[in-house]
Amino acid sequence: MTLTSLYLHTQFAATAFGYLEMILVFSLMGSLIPSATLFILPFAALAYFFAPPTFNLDDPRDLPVVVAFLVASIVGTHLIGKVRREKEVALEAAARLRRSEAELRDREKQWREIFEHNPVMHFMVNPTGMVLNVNTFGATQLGYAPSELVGHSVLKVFLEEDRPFVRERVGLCIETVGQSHTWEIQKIRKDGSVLWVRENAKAMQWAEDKLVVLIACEDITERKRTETALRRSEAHLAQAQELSRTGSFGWNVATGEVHWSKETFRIFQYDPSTEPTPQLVLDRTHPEDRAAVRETIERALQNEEDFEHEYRLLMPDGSVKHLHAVVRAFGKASGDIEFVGAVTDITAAKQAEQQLRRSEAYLAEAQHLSHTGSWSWDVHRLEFVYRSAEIDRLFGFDPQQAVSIETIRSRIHPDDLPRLQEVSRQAIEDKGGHFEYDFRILLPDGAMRRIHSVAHAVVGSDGNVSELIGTHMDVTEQHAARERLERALAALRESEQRFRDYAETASDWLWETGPDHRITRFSEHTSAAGILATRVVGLLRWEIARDVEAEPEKWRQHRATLDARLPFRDFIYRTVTQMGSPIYVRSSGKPFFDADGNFLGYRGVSTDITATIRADQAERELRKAQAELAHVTRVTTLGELTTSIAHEINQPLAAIVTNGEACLGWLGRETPDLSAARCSVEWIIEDGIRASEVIRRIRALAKKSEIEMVPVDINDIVKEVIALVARELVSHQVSLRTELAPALPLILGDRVQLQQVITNLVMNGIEAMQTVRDRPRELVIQSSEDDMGRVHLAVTDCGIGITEDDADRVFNPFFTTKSSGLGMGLSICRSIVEAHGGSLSIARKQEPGATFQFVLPLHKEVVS
Amino acid sequence: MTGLSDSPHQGVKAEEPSGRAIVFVIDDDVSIRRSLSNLFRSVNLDVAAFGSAQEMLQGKLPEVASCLVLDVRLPGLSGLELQTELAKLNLHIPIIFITGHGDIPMSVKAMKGGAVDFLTKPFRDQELLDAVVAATERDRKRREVEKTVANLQSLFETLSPREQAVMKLVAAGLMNKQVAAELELAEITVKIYRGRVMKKMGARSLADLIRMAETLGICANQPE
Repeated sequence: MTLTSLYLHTQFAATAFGYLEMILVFSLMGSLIPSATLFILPFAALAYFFAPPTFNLDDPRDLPVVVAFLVASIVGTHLIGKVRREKEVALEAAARLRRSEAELRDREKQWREIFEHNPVMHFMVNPTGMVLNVNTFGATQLGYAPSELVGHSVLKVFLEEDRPFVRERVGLCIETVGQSHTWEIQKIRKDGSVLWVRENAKAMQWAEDKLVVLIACEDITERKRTETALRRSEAHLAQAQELSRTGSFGWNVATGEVHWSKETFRIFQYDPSTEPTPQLVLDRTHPEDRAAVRETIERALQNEEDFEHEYRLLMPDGSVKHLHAVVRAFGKASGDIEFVGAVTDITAAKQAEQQLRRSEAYLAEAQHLSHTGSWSWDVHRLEFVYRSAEIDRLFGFDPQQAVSIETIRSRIHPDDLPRLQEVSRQAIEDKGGHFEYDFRILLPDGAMRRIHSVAHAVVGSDGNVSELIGTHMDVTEQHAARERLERALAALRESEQRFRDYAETASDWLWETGPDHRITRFSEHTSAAGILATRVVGLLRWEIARDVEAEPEKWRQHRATLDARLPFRDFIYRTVTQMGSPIYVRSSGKPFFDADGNFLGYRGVSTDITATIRADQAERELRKAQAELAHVTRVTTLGELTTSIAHEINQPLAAIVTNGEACLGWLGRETPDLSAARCSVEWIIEDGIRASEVIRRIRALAKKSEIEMVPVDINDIVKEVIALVARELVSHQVSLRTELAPALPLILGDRVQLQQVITNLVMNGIEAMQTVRDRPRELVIQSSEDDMGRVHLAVTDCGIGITEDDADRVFNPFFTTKSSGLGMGLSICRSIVEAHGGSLSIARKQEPGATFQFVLPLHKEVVS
Repeated sequence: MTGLSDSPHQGVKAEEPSGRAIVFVIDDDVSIRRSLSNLFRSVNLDVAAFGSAQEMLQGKLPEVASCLVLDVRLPGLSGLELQTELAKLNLHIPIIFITGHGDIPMSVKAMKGGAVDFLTKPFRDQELLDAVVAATERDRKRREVEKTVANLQSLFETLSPREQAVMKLVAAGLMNKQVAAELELAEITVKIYRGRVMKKMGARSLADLIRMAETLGICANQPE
């Protein structure tokens, strides 16, 4: 059209008019707008692109034309559309009316037929209950003709007792118009028989204000009967299921329909309202069994076969249920499979089984642990009816094999076999009762087991013993333990006796005190002390003692020891015998406690040490006397040494004086020589010290000091002695040679006393050589250590020597060859050396002269 | 060991002929030895100290005036024994004995042996010093005499035997004639010999010669 317009060079208005016509034509086609658009757009496009001069909107005259065109096209289109629609409706309504009239007629007839012959009883009653209408089927069912019922109360066909219910139901229907209500009720036929119906009732408006109730009744007598039977059987089943804990289920695989019985729900612990699915089963299945269950089901699905399986459930509360399921597969006509099965909760059975199994295991374990086997012996067939695993172990039987009586006998110690047979025979004869016996088993490997057996005979129905039932207990260990115990007891008895012997040998009496320190037991095994047990039992030690007041400190300490529960040793106290004479008792004791550590008292021994004490006292006095004597002789020796001592002191003193003079000389020079003077003074000091040292030594010797045993080096003592007697040696023209072994072990001794001994020996040596003129007077002092680690000291002179006769007497007191002196020297020396644990002797020698030597034990020996 | 090491003044050598006197000290006591050495040195005496007689004998005595301060009691060789020993060796050193406890027999023996002094401790140091000075003086004199004699002796030894015989006879107071007769020589010969002797001996006079002869102890040959 556009091209045409272009061709014709028509005016815009003309063109527009052409388009309007087109549009109107198209609107008649029922689809105006898209058609119009379809035309206008290409028109506009073409006009714009190809024919701008023609299509010029710039012309103001064209604008009203365009507007008019648009309005005219829209209005026209609308009007055309409306006319078309109305025409169509009118045609349709006329056709429907015609159809419905015919249909109505057909339908009414049809409905009447349906109503009359519908196998459902239809009643129509008015609100008072009067039957307005009833279908033929309904009346027939009740044994009436419809006319017999119409116009009568509907209650007539109901049981007397149901009538109020019916009235109430009808009332309800009337109250709730339009709503249907259903109930089941019995109806009475004309012949008086009863039928069950299911009534479906509904009230509805009938012709304006009239209400009618329509009731449709379905004969459900058969169903009811079936239902009752079904319900009964269901109840039975449910009960049976509940009792047997068996749930049943059905599963239509194709439809996925699943049915579970109540018990099944209970077993799986799902709410009965839950929709059961196979998945629920799997959900509850124990994770360990899940795969197996799935597999079983899948296999059954595949093979369409019955199956039976056991699996466990893991319940939400964590408990485990054991289930046993038996499932049948039913192939349906449609080719679907339906599984129907029963699932039984066998948890209790499983548990019982497990328990049984466990108790069996416990029993076996118990038998194993207690080495007890149980058995049952058939006395007729002479074989084990039953023997526990432990029996096999005890006898070394193969559990898999039967054992013959010979085998059994071969395992029994030959010595025990006759008695064993006798016991069995006796038991069988006695017909019942328990009997016990012991025997030994000899195993093929030579091992022996001691068995204690307890058994009893079982009397059979014939009144004779049929079986012996008993246990064998391996008492080898116990036997060995008992033997060990007996040995230990014997050893204990022996040990006790031994210790008693020791104690009795080492003491005079044994005692025991209680926690309050009072004597509870007292056994005197020597009557020497004369203390009567009866007199001391119940007393405290400090009640027995007689020196508590005299020595309070000693007793205080003793009681502190007891309070501290400490052992005490060699506690010495004084008491009196029953004769009244004083005795000294040395007591040692040790606290003893019960198993819980409670203090029970002290046990100990005591000894009468009166004699020892007396001897000690005597020895102490002797020692004292000896020390005195040693002192006296020492002082005497010092007297003898006076000249030497004086010289020893004079020497440094003279030197001091001389050095003093010299010092003055040095200072008095024209130029005083100060360094020489200083040197002189230093020497003066040295000499002064030397002089005082000499005096100290002398004083030590002269002093009457207590014996002081200290570790000393004998060489040091020798050197001190030499210092003391040097002058004596010189003045007697005696040359001294010392052979002192270096690094001698220390000895324990009193410095002064050892000095005294050596001084004495040296002085004796000097004196012995006084008359010697023909040979040099030489004195040798030697110190050495022997193989036993003892220290030797020898003083040798070359003097007149000692005759054989004198050799025995030189150590005697008052023996002397000198005109002066006490003659105590060597005697004292010997006692001093012996007090040091050593010995002093004369050594034989070939040359003229004599050697005196002494040996002193080591420091260690002395202290130990 | 020697007492020299104790000296505050080292370097005094016993052998050194210094013209000074040297004092020998023998004492076994180191204090004494040391103090005595100190004392002598303080009065400008040289000292040689020893701990024992043997030690001293091992050394050489110097050709100077000296004396020996000796402890009587010594270890080994005693003081008195050393005195005897020295005498045997013809060593005429004056000895001063010191002793801690002098006893009469010992001192007598010592004095008999020619000791200069015998001091008993305690003695005053001045006493000792005096004794030492006296002893060294005596030694010095003795040494001078000995020296003179030795000179004369050496001169005498330069004489021929005949001259010596002449000198002996002249010193004995014989006349030339008598000498000639004695020696069976001519008198003139004797005169010549006598003149030679006088000259060789350095005698200024006959009296001088006679004194020399006396000193030499050759006048003992009495004429028959």
